[in-house]
Amino acid sequence: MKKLVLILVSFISLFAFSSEVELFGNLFKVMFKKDNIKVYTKNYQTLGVGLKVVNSCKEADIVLGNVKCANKPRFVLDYYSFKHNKEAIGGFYWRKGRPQLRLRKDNLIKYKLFISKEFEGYLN
Amino acid sequence: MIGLSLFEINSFQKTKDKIKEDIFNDLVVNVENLASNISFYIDKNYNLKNLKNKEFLKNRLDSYLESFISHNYKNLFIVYPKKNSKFFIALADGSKKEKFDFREIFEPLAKEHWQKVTKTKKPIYFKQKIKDIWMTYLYPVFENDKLKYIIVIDFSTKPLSLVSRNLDIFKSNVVFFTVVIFVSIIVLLVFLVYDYKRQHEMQHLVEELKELNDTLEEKVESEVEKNRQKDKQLMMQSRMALMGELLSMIAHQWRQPLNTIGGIVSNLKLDIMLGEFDEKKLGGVLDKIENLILHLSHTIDDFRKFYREENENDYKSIKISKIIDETLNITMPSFKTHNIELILNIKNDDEIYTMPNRLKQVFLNIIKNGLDSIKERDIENPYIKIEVFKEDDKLIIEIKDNAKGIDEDIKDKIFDPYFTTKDEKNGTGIGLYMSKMIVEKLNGKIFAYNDEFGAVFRIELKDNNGS
Repeated sequence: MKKLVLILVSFISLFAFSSEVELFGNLFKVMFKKDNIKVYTKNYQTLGVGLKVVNSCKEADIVLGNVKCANKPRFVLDYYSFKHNKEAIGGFYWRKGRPQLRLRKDNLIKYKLFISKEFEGYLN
Repeated sequence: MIGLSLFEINSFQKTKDKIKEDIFNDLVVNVENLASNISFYIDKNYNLKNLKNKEFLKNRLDSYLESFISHNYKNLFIVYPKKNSKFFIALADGSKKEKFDFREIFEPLAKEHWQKVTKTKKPIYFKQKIKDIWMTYLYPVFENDKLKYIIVIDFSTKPLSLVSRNLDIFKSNVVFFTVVIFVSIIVLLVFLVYDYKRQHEMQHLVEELKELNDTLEEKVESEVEKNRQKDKQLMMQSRMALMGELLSMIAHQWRQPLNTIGGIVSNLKLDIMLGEFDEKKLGGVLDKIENLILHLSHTIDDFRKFYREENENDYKSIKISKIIDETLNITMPSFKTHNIELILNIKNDDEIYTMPNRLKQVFLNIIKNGLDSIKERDIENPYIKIEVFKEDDKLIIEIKDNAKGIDEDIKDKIFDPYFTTKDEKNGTGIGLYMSKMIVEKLNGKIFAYNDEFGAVFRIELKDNNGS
């Protein structure tokens, strides 16, 4: 519950880079059940908050954005990527000025990622 | 001033709030009307079930909603709740950019408002962000107590912020002008007070001046009257002195004829006593006495003429020689008594327009002074010369003597009133002063100086020839 509140606060209050990163950090920690997540992305140079940007797809735990990387769970950052990329485990994007978080249950299961009760509401 | 400003600011704030409230209410009413019309349109033109399932219907409705998008309405879309979910599904979207896909899932922000709308079944509006100009209007449409869909309109409250900003500018200007007006009033009041004081002082000064002026007039009048009285007194004194002089002269002139008459009468009485009275000689004797009496009478006439009062209207045209002659009639016995030669040199005998008796008084005074000086200084071969001539359109009368002149140390004072070199019995000191006054009154001038022989008195008269 506390984590959910934290994520919601992040959504509502800032909608900025720092809050998005914080969101990803919390979400991915929950998914992977560990604190240090390696992220392969071209969207951010650094992430912090328990997330580390890695230079190769191989090293990464998760791929963030549309960067090429196969066989790794992917979390997209825009609606159309989420709509068209059926393999994505989830996405975070803005619609009508409102932040949207989506998670695909099947893909999460496929990559053996955990979803807590707090995130069940975001499952598509 | 502070109270007025506070009152002004308070009133202004209330007015501003009211204006903003009215404008906002008007905005909300417009949005409400729009949502209501859209709802009416949808209900009239669409079957909801079909709309949810057929994409082309959504597209058609999208086109309709697009017509309402403007700078006032950023987003206009319709969503319906997803069963057993916190999400909504897009039904239609009027946005030109980022249009919802058919059946796109949507998660709203500020869920508490969305929940409230669902519960209360009433429209609601709320701000998206604290300092944002955009507000969200949620218009729920129910059927049989069931929520069909919600029309979402993101509308702008920019007019409010514009009005607010402009009102603030207006307020600043009003405050500024109020301060300016107040300061101006203060300055004006200060000037008015200063001006009033100045005028009051001025009035006071004017009154003082007027009082001084009145007093001055009185003083001047008083002094003029005093001078007039003094002149009158001097004139009287002069006339008294003149009378004295004349009486003395009368006495002098009468002594000899009276002595002669006395002698004749004594001789007659003696002859009668001695019996030597000759009736034939009586006629001659009586003639002599008659002539002497006539001479005495003429002398009286001369003196009376001389002493007669003259007033301003007694100007007349007269020859200067006549005036001189009549003066000499009075004084001639003195000349004879003291063997003083009279030299007359009248080069110009035109008539002049003057007051003859006054002029006679002047001549008499000067001649008398000359006679007195000669007697006093025991001059050998004494004379008094009277010359009359013209010079630069002026008639000049010079009376000269050879009594060795006027002492230098008193020459400047001889025309001063009450100045005399004679003792009290013989001199009043007003003769020459009066002579100067008379000559100046006749528009003339009188001077006194010494020549090699004695004093010269020069009288200059304007040659007016009767004008």
